[in-house]
Amino acid sequence: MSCLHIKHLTVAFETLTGKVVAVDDVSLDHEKKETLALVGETGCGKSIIARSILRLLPENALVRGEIFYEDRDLLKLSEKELSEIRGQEIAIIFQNPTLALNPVLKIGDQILELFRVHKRASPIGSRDYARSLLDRMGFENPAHALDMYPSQFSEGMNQRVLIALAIALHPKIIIADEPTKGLDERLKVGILKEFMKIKAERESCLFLITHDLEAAQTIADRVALMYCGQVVETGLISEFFAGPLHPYARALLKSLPAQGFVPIPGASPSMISPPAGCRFHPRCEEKLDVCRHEAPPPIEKSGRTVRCFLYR
Amino acid sequence: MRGTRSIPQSSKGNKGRIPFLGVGLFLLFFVLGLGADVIAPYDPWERFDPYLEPSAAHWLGTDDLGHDILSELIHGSRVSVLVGLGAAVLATVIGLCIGLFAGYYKGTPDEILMGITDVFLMIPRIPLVILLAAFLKPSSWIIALVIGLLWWTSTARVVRSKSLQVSEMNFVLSSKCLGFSNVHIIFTDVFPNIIQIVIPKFMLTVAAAMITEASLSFLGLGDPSMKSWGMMINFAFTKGGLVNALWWWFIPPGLCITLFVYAVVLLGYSLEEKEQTALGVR
Repeated sequence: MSCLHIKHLTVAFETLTGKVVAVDDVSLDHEKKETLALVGETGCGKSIIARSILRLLPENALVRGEIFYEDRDLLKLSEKELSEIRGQEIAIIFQNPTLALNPVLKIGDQILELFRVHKRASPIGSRDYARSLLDRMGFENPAHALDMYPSQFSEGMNQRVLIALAIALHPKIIIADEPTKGLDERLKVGILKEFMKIKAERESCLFLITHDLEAAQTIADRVALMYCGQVVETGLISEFFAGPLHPYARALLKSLPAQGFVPIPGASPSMISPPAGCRFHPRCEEKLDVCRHEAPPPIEKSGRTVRCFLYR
Repeated sequence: MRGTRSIPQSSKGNKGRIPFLGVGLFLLFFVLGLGADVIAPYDPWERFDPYLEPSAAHWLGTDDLGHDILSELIHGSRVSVLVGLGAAVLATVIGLCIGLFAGYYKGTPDEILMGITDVFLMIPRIPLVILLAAFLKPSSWIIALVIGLLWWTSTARVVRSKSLQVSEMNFVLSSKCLGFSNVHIIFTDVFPNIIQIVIPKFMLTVAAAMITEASLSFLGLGDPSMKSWGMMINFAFTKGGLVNALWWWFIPPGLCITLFVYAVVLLGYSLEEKEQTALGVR
């Protein structure tokens, strides 16, 4: 049973230099209680997918396709229906936690605001709950933390506040956009552990967006690899790391420090004029003739999906 | 004034200095205005000998009709302060709402609201106020209303530009993700971030409104049934106080206007400073 079902999502932007297709025909299935990692290099369209789920894209974005959440197409809901879903059903955690908190409001007020607006709860009862939330997030003195401003906290502390905000209303889906970006190794491990704990407790599904393959390997159940706006491979995380199918996936794993540090030849293609045929073919070592002029469709192979003619 | 501020040691320890002079003067006039009936030694309409010099019985002497000037001054503070604050509250609320909505929604709403603001900005305000004051019933409340309805334009523009900037920040987006409505975001996320520019603007509007009211009254367009400081200067001017150098008649009301405006501006600056300390800007 899937909790989020993305069908043929295409997102394009009209810009002065031309039309940029940032996300091209992406279909993803996110099963219940599962952690799905969307992995890809910077600029491949990962965050655009996250933002189009909650319709947070700027107005010049042209979005086509369908995003189903419990039989409702999120792309067709009114702004009011959507605000019922945002925060309560689907929560998102952004990168740059300090910027995602209002600098002039106390942490406590920002958490209590949620209960006031969505649950019409009294401030006193919800203050206890807010304190227990921060306690769970590992704050040593949560009552004191409620009276602090975001500028008095470190990046890692604010990240934990944001996670507390995101899980406060028990959402069914948590989208985390690069939650470990800019954090040092120790904090990163802490945050990832936190995610695993929450997921286990709340039975929600986690949609992790990252460029960090190791982080994905640590907590994800399934992985979707993106390249230049397309999902090129999806599969279980164990199978993916044991035997990647797509040549890009193979090249990517080989470029990890632990596995040889071999760079992928060439540079990432421009999103304005992507290569014809398979988008990876100019950098691919196993390319066929057909790759040059024909784009490979998603091909099912033993429960995994891969966009490559090698598996036709 | 702002350049000489020292850097606070920590964002917790220094909550911004309170300008005792500003607060003191503000409270003084506030109390005088509120308790005018009790504090003033005489009824401002009671008649004594005219043109008396300051003495123990009449600390600031009397005017041409024999009214006690100190009593007039104390009663005048009520009118002047109320007109100034009332007009500034109205102007700030209008300017704030227009600026916030224009800056947050951008696009067409912004164009329309800023178009209206530009139209109001082109209106020559003082002549219009003079005209309205001349045609309408001369009343302090009408003057306050007219000033309030005309003095919001610069507040709206400043608020709009800051609102444009704030509503592009990440926390506005993350508030949206938590399912808050646009109006809620405007008032709980955007508004608290621009309050530090609204407060000084409000204080300056108070000052402008008081000076405008004083000017109108001085020109004889004020409310003759209400003794404001401007009206007192007007009477001193038209009834020969200035020509005959009866200083106790025209200097005190002028001084009062100056002092109150000064107090208001001092308060504005210190509130701005406090806000910035909380933000950790300095």
